[in-house]
Amino acid sequence: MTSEILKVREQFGAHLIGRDVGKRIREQYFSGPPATWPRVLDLTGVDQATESCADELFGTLARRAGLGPVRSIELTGCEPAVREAIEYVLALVEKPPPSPNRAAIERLLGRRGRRIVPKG
Amino acid sequence: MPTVRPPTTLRFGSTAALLAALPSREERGREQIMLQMGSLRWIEALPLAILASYVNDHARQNRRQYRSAGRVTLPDRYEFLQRMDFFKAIGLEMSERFARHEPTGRFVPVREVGVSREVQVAAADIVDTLRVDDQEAANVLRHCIGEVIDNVFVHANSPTNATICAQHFPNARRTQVGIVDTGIGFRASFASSPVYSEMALSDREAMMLGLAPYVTSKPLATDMYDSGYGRLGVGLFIVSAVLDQVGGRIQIASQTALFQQKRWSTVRPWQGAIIGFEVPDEPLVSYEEALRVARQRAIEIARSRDLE
Repeated sequence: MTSEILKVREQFGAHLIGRDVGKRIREQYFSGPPATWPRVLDLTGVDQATESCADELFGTLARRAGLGPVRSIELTGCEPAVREAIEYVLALVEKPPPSPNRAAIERLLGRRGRRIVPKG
Repeated sequence: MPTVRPPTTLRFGSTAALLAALPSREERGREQIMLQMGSLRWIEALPLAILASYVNDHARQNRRQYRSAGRVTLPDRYEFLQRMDFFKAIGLEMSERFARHEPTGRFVPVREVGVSREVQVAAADIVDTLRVDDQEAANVLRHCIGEVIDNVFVHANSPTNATICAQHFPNARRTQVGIVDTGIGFRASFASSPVYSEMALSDREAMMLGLAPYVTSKPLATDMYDSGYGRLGVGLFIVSAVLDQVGGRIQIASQTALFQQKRWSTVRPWQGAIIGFEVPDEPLVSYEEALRVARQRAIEIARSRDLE
């Protein structure tokens, strides 16, 4: 059964901290296809959302269903800090930061010029 | 009997000295340990979390309760240790004849967070208990506590879960938090990743990667969250960068590596990870601003890495 409006604070609190809470929201309300998702996410009274929580909810949904359906969820009562966290993870889905290749990792570790000894 | 003689004064910056006093799992074997705290004069939240985690690790490795896993000698005045639930945390029954902290005191006794579901509640509870007045400081604390404990459940596989302790220092106008696990540590976490398994990372190198943005030992899905996707690999970088912005400080130790005051040193090995941080009562910049800068910095570093 899908509700049109999900009041986040009532069920999940004012501080969306950690991956678990993002996962709970996703599994409880977004486990089906986008047509069954809540149309509105009411974030009134939610003061804070960490990247990991936002990624677990919005990032995972965007990777699964695409950015379009996620962007079409209406966010109401959204504090700037919460909106920024959501936008941040969606931007990472849209344009993922480059994963460091082996050479970049070696530079990062200051190993340039040193031979890497495989384990074993 | 392996003996632990912690230094008499244990502050936020005493981690190297404390670790030097702790025999490793191999060194202590299955014997009882003697925890000699008779000369202890001062102990803060981070070292309390380390000691509680250490004793519990020994007990759980040997499937013992503390009363058979070790013995303890106490300082003349040990009410503070009682108030901070140190004995309760290590399973040692003591007389309850002591005064609890006054309601005006701002302490979070030693506790374990056992499942990922508790992360959100723990982060909120700790900040409420500390009664952090400044909303910006409260947000920073909740964010850092949440992200660090989350990492324990994603990466550490810790037999002692996440041991937490916190306290506010009214004179220094700072709050200190210690989050300690006895899991696999940074190096083993990266070594288990197909991306990094052949790189033979040192403890310090593994921690450097853990602190770098968009680098993660879990690039692929794990069953734990069943999200089907990997981690962002940016949480610890943002915690560190936010603390830097607001005038706080962070300390991380895992195995032989210690990162403290932005410097690296080699320490007696700790099996797992120790993360301590301090947040000033009045952050230098707002939480929002600190986050914005941290996220921007993360992206800039990732892009510059690609361009080199």
